[in-house]
Amino acid sequence: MSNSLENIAKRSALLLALLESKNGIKKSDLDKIIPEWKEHLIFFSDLKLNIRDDRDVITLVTPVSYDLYQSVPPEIRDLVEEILSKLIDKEEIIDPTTLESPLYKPKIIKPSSDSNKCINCADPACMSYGKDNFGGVDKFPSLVCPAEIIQLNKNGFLQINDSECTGCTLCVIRCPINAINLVDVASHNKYKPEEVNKIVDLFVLPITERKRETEKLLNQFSKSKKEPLFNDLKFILDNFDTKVSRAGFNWNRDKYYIFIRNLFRELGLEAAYTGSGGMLRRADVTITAPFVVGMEVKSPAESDIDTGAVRQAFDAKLEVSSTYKESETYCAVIGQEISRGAHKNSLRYLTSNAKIPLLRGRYLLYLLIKHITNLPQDPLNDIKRLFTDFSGWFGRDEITSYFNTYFDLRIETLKQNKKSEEKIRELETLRKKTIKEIKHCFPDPKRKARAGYGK
Amino acid sequence: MLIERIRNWKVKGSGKTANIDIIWFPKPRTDLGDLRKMVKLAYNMQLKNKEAGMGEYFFENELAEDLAELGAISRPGTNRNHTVEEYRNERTPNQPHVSSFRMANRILRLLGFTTRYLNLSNAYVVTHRGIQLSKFEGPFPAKISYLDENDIVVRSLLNANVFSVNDNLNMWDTRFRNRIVVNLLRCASVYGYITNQEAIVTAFTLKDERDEKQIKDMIKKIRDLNYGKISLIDAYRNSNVDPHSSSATNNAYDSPKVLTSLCRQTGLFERETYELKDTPYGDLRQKYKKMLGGRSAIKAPHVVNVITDLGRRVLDEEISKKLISFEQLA
Repeated sequence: MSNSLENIAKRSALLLALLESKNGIKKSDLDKIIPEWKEHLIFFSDLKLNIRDDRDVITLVTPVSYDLYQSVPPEIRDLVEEILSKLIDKEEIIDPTTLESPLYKPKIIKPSSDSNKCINCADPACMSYGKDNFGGVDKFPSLVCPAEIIQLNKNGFLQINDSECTGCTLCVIRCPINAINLVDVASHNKYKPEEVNKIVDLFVLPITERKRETEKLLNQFSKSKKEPLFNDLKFILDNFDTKVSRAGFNWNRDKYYIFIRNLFRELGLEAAYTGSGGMLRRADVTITAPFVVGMEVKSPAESDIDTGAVRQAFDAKLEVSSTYKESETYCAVIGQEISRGAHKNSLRYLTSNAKIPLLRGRYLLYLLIKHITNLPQDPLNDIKRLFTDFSGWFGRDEITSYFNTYFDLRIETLKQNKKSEEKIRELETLRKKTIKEIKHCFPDPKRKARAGYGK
Repeated sequence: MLIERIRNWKVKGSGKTANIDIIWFPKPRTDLGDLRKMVKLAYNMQLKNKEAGMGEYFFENELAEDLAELGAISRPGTNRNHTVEEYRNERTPNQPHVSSFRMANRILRLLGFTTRYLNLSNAYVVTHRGIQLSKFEGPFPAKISYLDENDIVVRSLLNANVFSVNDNLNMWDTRFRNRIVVNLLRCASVYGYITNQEAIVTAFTLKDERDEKQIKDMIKKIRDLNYGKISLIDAYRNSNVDPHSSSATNNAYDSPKVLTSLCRQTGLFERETYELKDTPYGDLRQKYKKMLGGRSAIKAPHVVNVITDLGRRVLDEEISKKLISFEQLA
């Protein structure tokens, strides 16, 4: 190492030590470690750095930007680090796994057993999927709320900015103890999650301890978990339609794509948001297991489902076929509205053995809520039928047919067992109720002329 | 000798970096949670190597393979299980997972979480700060007792000098003496917001922030752009970027993406789209249309980065600091 570099190393160490030490550096220490420190101080004064020289201690007065890991080149970093460690104590690495007790004692007020409030989970399910892997081609792999309105505040609490909520219900579905509820739709005429974090006070714990605490609380409250409130389904769907559309928040790519991906995840499939910029993928959202689907998604701000989207969906199918090396792959187009010509165009692809259903967010949201609440689904027998049984326009008649088959399949299995007549009757009642509900939620079976979105 | 050499440093490289007077930035994954996971894996590999008696470092290409298998790095047309196998027989520079991780590692090096291990090619070390970062768990920003992960990343961001800052001295781009994030915040504070395009021609082209005249010129440029005195196309041209060549503009445009994304994640910026005309700052769509001027390969921006209260507070603190660069200590 040249003298020049060694000098720089010493000056760097001295400067960094002055920067890091709040009470200054003792001259006696400097005499031992950098005997020529006075020369370096003269050099610093040439750089117009103001250094206060008290009786035993020197202190840096001028605020300086210089960093060991970012300003010092690797050639001399080891040397600088070595000198620095003699001058000041190295910052201790805080490791949550070895931490015996929290450094400052948090105050925890636990929610009572009949309360439906947030317990500030260590790994909040409403905010993150908490995936250990990186998602690969999946963009924002762990994001739950598409609008990112569920966030941790400065104190580590979960906060929901409900003014931007579209009521997509994902957080409500995912919360393990139903701390997020829908405000009474009928009386408020507005759909928003309830304000959370009223009960838990300061909750800054080491992560391992917090995980243990979370597990305990979840065990305690998940037993009393009730079904989420989804009384007025039509209102929820109408509200979602309006809020994401151009008249509302005008959801563009990322948000809408994440919503669609998460919706399929909640339905029990493995889905990834693969179509973001830079990914160079045809499929916007890809279902990878237990079957493979390449989907073209049109966000409300982008466009309706149009003829081009149908072609893109077919391209997506070809792409996922080659990527996942599966003999049977499916495709679909998803958007908020269907525009002229898309239905006809999708039927043309039947000649190429490709069924391209045109699915709308409103229908999928209905499907999700039904399956989560009272009609548990099996991805292979139920959700898969969306892609194998339907082609083109997917509307009221199609969703009715979907649920009819859903009930038929279950009734058929039950018929083999003679003792299950009561269950069959129950399912028949449920079927009637569902079909009535579908008529209420999707009043118009035919395609509407595209309405203006406002501004 | 080495100091002399870096003082007379000339523009090297080809393609992206050649003859463009803009700080060039790689564009890997920007999710800070993911970057933390990468540091964690790197540190684990470093510990394993140490146990095996090899020394305290990790190899870039070995870690890249691990990351590809975990799904952190992928390639169009392959899924995670195929990525490594498909490119096994290629030369290292042609292996997409390796080059992708290299880009990510450059960001980690810029932020001071990893650094080069001397005398051994392809080997890197997780720094003390990187080790602390690897201890956090949960969604970003996590906390361990009084330690806030966000504070660590913000500190690293504010100190970030130039892209190759902790590479070998030979690789230092000494044209720039510029804490990019600080100057990005400085530019954003003029009107309260900044687009990536404006950032390219201001904070990313500032050569030496120690020179007050250059700072004044930069602020003037921001004002001129907003008043419509100069167009973005002219500003690009002044920075040696051909505004009519899409490859030149795209390469330049990639630069601020990572930094603005990191700033948004750490709360220094907030993202606002101006699809709607009535933003708190007026009709931004019209404004940027006007700023863009004639036909060019520069696309109209869709996102503005709005400086937050935290951003302003941090900026006030940082402006008062005197930037000392390494060769000044020679």
